[in-house]
Amino acid sequence: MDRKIRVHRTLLFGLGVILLGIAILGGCATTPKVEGHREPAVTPPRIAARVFSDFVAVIAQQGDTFGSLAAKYLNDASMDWVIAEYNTLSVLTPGQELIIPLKQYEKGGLTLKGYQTVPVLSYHTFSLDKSTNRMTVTKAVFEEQMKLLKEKGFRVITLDQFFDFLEFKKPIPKKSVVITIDDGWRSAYEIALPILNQYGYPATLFVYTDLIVGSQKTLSWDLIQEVSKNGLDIQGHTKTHRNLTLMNTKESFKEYFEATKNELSKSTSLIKSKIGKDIKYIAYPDGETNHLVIELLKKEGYLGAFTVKRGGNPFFTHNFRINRSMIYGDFDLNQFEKNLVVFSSEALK
Amino acid sequence: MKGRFFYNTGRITLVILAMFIFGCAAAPPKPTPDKGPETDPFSGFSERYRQQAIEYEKQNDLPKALQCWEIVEAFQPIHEEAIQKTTALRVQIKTLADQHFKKGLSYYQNRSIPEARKEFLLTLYYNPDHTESLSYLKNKLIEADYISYEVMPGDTLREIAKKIYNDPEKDFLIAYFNDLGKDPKLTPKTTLRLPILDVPQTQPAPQPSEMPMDLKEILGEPKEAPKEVKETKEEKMAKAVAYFKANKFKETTSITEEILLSDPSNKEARDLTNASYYQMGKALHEEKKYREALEQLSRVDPKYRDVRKWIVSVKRQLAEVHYINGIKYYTQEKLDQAIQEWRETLNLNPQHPKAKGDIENAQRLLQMLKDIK
Repeated sequence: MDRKIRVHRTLLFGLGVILLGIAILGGCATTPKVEGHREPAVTPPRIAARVFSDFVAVIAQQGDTFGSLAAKYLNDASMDWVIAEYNTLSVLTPGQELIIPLKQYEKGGLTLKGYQTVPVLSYHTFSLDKSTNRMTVTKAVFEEQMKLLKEKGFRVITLDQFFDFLEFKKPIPKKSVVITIDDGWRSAYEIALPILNQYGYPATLFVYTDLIVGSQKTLSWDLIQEVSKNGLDIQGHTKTHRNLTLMNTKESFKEYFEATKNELSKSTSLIKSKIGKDIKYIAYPDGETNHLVIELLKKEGYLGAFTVKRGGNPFFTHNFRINRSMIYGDFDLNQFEKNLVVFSSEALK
Repeated sequence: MKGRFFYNTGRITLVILAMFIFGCAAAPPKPTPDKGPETDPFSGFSERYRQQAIEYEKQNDLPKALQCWEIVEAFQPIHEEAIQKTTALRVQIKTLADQHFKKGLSYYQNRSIPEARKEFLLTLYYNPDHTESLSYLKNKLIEADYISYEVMPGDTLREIAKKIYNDPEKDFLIAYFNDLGKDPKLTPKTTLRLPILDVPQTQPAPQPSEMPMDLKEILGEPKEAPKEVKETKEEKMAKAVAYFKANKFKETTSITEEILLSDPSNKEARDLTNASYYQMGKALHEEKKYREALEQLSRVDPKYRDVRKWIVSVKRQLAEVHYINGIKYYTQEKLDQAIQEWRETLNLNPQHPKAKGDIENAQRLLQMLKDIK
């Protein structure tokens, strides 16, 4: 009997211990809901932004970047520069108080001290080795130039963004640059494009359509289509690269006029038929133009045109006489940098 | 024995029950210590942007100052200072934009293009939505590529071509650019767009065998644009001096400022510019055009002669004009406008003996009126 009782006692004691264990592990481990209490391991959620009609006030949180905030509040991560420039910041740290403007500000980069200018760089051909032709830039030099743009905080913008700036429609980063490549040589595809893609820079290829024959040195329409899908914007450079301001000795004025018209319309329609793209901009062959050519371009529906007159472009530049700086193969980095002026100091008051 | 067994069993059950009821409840996790009402994490914005606004005002960057005050006001909609500042700055900025636009027009009409450009830029700086100013900058101050021709009774395309291009055979150009057919009937007073014709240079025709080639590849470098024949700096200065002697100060500054653009250290041009604006300011002061006088005098180097004294004097007189305007508004019960005028008075003459007190009175009155409503 005693043995039985001992067994019972032991069993009961064991049951007690088990229940106690359950009580401690189960009951006590379950956190009772206490008003205001949070799990200590979780960061208390904070109100990180307050949205107003014209701006959003933000307190940067861990993991926020200018890009992530731009994506969230401006619906476009590439507008990161708007937040950085408005708040005059280059680095974002948690706890940083920010204003994200929802309305455009400083259109045209206009201040009391002067105005923004946009350099447009013009390249032609590229080579692996040094060339005697000034128009040819070696791969190494081109790489150095692109690296310099990155390191010095320049932002390469598209032609459409540039024209939004020229039309005073939208602001662009303060240190904006446009990259263009003329003609349609194969080296643009083989040498320049991989470097541009490496840095994520957009660029425009102005092609003169008679050159697009797909030889060893020139691009083919298949390649044009490919580069067009891979970051190069295709625009016009006439049909034969004829200097549009010069009349041939054997031509009448009317023939000159018709030939000029054809240079523009035939290249446009060919590009449209080959890659399905509407051409809006043109680079003048030899960079030269005159009033008649400009009027013809307007009539043909072009929105702007580029010369090779060195210098930057404020927003009030003539849309059909845009300055462009040729980058020669023998330029060192200092000479290259001299073409990157992004502000014209001219006290307005 | 049996009783002891049940006694023991009951004791254990009680302990377990007690553990359930009190054990856990006795030690609830400590809530975060109560710090009183939670502080607004955005409370710092308002003061920060208030300070920034004041700084921008000091730098005379009024649009940026306004943006900052608007941020303050958004955070604190009853922030009295912010309300006053945003109201006053909006008025001031609009006034400045209008003034600069008018000046731009005047310069444009007098063909002073660099000055007109500066004024239109200032207009856009103050009011980026000023489409007229933008249109002048983008379309009228640049080199024109066409002329507008108004059709006269009896005009034909050939006659117009003869008149404008000295060549009736160029009638096709007019037809093309104006979407007209051959021999169209022209309606008088219709405006036609005629491209300006530069005399095209000629080049030898390419041989048929020539392959399309990039001319730049052959030439190596793009050709320089033909250089215009320009006056020398000395010739321009002589002209400017002659204008100055003839009391034609606008014409003088138009030349000297152009010289200074390319040669900012040109002392002679700088002196003549200062002297011209100084004279224009004084003349306008005599005509009691104080605002205009102030604008001209503000362009003079502050170290030039007694220009500082003149500016102080003109500002005081202009302050008085605004003060009287304020009184006129006050008597018409236009309290907001009265306050604006007196604020302008204080801007021009912070020591004005009455403006500050009058603003306070008007504000009290406005508040009383609001309370009554």
